[in-house]
Amino acid sequence: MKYLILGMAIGFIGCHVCFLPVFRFKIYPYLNILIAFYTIPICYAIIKYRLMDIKLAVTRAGIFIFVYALVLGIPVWIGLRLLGKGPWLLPVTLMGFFATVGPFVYFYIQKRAENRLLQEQRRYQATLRQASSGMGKIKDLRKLLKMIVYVLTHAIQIEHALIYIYDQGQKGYVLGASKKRSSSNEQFIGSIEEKSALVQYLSNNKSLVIFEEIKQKSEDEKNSVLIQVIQTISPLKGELIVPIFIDQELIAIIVMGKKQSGKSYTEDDLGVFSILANQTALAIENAKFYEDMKRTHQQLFQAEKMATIGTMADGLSHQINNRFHALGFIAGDALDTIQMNKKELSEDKMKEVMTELERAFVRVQENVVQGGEIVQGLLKYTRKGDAGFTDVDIGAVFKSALEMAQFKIKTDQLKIIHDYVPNAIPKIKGNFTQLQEVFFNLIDNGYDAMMQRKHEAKEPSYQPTLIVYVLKEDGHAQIIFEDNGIGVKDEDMHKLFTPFFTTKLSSRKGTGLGLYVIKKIVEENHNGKVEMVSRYMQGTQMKLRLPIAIA
Amino acid sequence: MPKLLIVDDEPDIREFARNFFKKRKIEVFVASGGRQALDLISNEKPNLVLLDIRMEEMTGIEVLRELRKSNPDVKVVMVSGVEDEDTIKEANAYGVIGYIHKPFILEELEKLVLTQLNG
Repeated sequence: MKYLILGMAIGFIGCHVCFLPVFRFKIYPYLNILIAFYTIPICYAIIKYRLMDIKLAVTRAGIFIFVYALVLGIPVWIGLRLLGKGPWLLPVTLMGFFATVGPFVYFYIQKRAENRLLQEQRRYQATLRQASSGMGKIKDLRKLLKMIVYVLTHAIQIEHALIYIYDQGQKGYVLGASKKRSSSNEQFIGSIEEKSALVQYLSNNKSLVIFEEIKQKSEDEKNSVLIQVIQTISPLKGELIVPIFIDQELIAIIVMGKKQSGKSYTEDDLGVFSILANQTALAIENAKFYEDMKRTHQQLFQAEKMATIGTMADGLSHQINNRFHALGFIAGDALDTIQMNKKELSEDKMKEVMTELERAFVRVQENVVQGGEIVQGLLKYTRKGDAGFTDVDIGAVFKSALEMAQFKIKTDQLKIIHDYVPNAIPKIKGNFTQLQEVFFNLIDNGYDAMMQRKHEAKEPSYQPTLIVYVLKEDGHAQIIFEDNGIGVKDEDMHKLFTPFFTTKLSSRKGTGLGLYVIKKIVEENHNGKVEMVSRYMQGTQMKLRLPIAIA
Repeated sequence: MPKLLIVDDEPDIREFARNFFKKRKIEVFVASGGRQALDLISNEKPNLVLLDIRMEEMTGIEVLRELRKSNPDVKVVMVSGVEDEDTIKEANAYGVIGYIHKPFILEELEKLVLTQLNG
């Protein structure tokens, strides 16, 4: 900006050099040529630093020079012609000077005055603009609504602010958040019906509503519709109603009370609130979308767990069937003994039979207990895991996951090494069921990788080994599952965490969702990190980084 | 005394099946896995083998396969649990006397074994 003014000023002065000869200064218009030279460096600066659109700059400067040359030059020329030289030249020159400077001074003073007058308004408009940009970052809908009403109440200094959000179940707009300045106990209305006059009016007009204006209008026009609208707004004690639209749908209504200063809402205000409304619409949609996504993820976790149980059905049913088989055999043999001996029982024989029966029932109970444990283990695995976050013992999770894994894989085919001291490892802040799911999938994946290597590579001395390390690293526990299985080929690495991708040999072995779910559980729900290092035909390391529970 | 070999990885089955058949004057041998079973068959030459299909170390089918190489004439009854059709077909290919499906009542097993041992 400075350059432009400087350029104009110099150009102008250069121009005036033309007039000097009139005052008998012996400077000839040779200096006129300098005008061109003065403007060239300035134009260069403008182009180089892209201070502004060059056409615009040249046009503005050109117009300025042209206009002033005429405005000042013509009267002076006429004056000289008609009056000749005289004392009139001085005031006229002064006038010319002030005329040049005048507009600049005028604009400057006007801007300062305006700023002072509208200081209050400018201030809260700036706050609202800041709030708008911050809104998009809040993903929790409740928090977002609370923030909106808080910012409105404090920035604009109004008596109260309410926000009603559309609820499909209630067929209306439910109060999402409210904030009031005074500490009075007055309650706000809980909801606005979808069918109410206000909602219809807002949906049709799609503009902000100022209560006083509508009131005036309804009295002037005696419009029954407007009267109904007034009746709906009055109980809300709203001075200004701001509708929030997404795709022509009214998703929320903001109700603002009177300004504490007593001033009414201005045109300027309405402009700012319109923009705010748009931002709010996007922020609300964003928050809702985020909530939907979280719900979908929960459903996905549950579905994956159920699918995994399908892959365990074989092992589970075998185990349970064996319990029944054993019970049948034991009962059958005991019954047989009783039947064989019930006709004649000597004391010795009686003792013998009793001992046998005792043994039989002991074994029956043992089988019953084992059966119960299988059922318990299964239930523990299928529980939804909404229990929330607790301090979780890594060792317990691993043990539990291994128990479940036994229904699907032959754990005695592997060598499992724990490279940690059970009571020395830190507890993690997490959800037991979800972490169990993660560990189960890692053990299962490791097993499959190792079995694949065993069958494909046919190395005679191959010993499938799974090692689990736990390390402590600045407030986090680093849990590493290391196997010496077939590993992952480089070209498959980037696809690994995508849903439904699997390199497992049969569909009975995997759902393809394991790694995807592990990543979501660890990174999104537990604020952790999943890392994978693998080499084909050598093995894989799965690293989980999870935050330690603070005592 | 007729000899019976029971191959099953469940300890309770081995214990109580032995009890049961001892009362019927049948000499019972037990094996918890395939290797042990094959050794016992070679050494003791049982009249009948009750072979569990699903075991940890070696499956019943694998045992059967090995057995047919060295002892093609041994009478085998397969004990099946949750197996699918394909497994049963595979067993058939190696020649078995019959099947019995877990869980079963001892009376059934008794009938089957006595018939085979006497017949």
